[in-house]
Amino acid sequence: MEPSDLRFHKEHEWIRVDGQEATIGISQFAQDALGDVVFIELPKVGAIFEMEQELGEVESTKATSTIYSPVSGKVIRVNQELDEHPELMNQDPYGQGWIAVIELSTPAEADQLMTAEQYEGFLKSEA
Amino acid sequence: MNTTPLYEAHQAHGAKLVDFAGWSMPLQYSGVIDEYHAVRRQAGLFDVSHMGRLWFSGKGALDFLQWVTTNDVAKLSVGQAQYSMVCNPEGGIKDDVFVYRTGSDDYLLCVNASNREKVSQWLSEQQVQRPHGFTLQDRSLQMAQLALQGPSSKSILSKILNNSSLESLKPRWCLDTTISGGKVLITRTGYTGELGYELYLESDQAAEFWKQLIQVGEAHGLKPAGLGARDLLRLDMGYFLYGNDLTEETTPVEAGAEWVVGFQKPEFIGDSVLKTQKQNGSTRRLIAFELLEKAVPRHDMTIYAKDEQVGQVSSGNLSPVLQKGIGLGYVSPQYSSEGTALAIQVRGKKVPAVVVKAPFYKRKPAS
Repeated sequence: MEPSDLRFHKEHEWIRVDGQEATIGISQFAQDALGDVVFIELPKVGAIFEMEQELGEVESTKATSTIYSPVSGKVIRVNQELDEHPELMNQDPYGQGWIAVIELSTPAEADQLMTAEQYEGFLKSEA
Repeated sequence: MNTTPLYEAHQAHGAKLVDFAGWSMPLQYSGVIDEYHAVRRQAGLFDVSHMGRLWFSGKGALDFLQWVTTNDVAKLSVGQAQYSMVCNPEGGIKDDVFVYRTGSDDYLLCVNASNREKVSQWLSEQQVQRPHGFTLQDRSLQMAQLALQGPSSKSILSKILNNSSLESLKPRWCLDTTISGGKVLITRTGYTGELGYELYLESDQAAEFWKQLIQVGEAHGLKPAGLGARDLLRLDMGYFLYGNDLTEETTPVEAGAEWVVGFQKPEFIGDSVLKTQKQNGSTRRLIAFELLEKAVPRHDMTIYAKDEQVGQVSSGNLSPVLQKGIGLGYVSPQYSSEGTALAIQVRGKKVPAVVVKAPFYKRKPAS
């Protein structure tokens, strides 16, 4: 079961909205598909991203994959813990494995993303 | 899809299985990094039954193997093994192999899974031209092969082996023995850089033997390990992966593997090209490099010297133990000496790199 307080993008990123801010991470499915994460190229604090623009890169033992920003806004915090402990992204993708917090420029974008239930359906349809 | 005799064991261990050269093989069990560290610190058990096992027997086997492989097979004593290559007439590498001398006129050639059919066919063609005095038998599908690797591997293996010769078994030597009544060829070889053994046995004994090793090994920290860990471990050592670092378009001289070419031995396939390259130099050369900033080099990325493109990465990853991006690649020879400053194009960015001497990882001396 995916956490019901999250919204999901089809590229397997999630957001957790809190007022004008949204925390971004990758889904359980994404971390499992990537395999062991070894290095994350985090965005810079202050950087501005449009919805679906490349936000960073995740390197796993298998491959590199791009993280897309599921919403538009400015990065106000990044998870520095991931520099030392990239495995957090595997172990706790919806918690300690978060990537960044964005100040939403267009909060309504969040409504375009899938609910947990919709995302579960999406994963089944992709399988 | 081919499956090994250990397929059920892999499923029982919760392996993530992938298609590798037409075989359903474990990519990982507990996790690539976890298995990697198990091998570096304690021990890991790999199913490598997908590899090819070609047996040669008869008085003419030595001459034939001298003709089709690059290393000097005549240097092998009974019970000894060597790394070698099978080349095409242009010196390009058809496969990198291990040659074991298992009896005075008996040899085992261990080839890559991805090349088994190609090499088997090639050797049959060669045999038609040089048929004298030996038989060639592909027993790949009748046999299984395990790799037990890591500092604890000797303690684990000696618990199920009633043979004191294991204690004195040197690197690249083999031991014919029996375990639970079944014949096993134990060789001190591997693809990880750690103390380790490979075990060649009949398919119908593989599952039982695997189970025994896992049971005995548990107290020594043994874990089943998959292809993901195997690839990281071999790259730490600068060991080649066929298809990435070696192809039919690269020669042993270009790969910096002159040490597996018997330049003094009788005529062999590809020798004239290799001798010329050794004398006059080749147009490219394999290097080992480390990145000076944290990033992950990958196969096919471009290598630069200042602003000039000078080569391509053949293998790359982040070494879990070194926490550095490491890789192998081919460059123009003038950029191949140790210490040369290069850069790897990692997506949009040129990341500084330096040519180093392999292995990247140096094992602590055995205690």
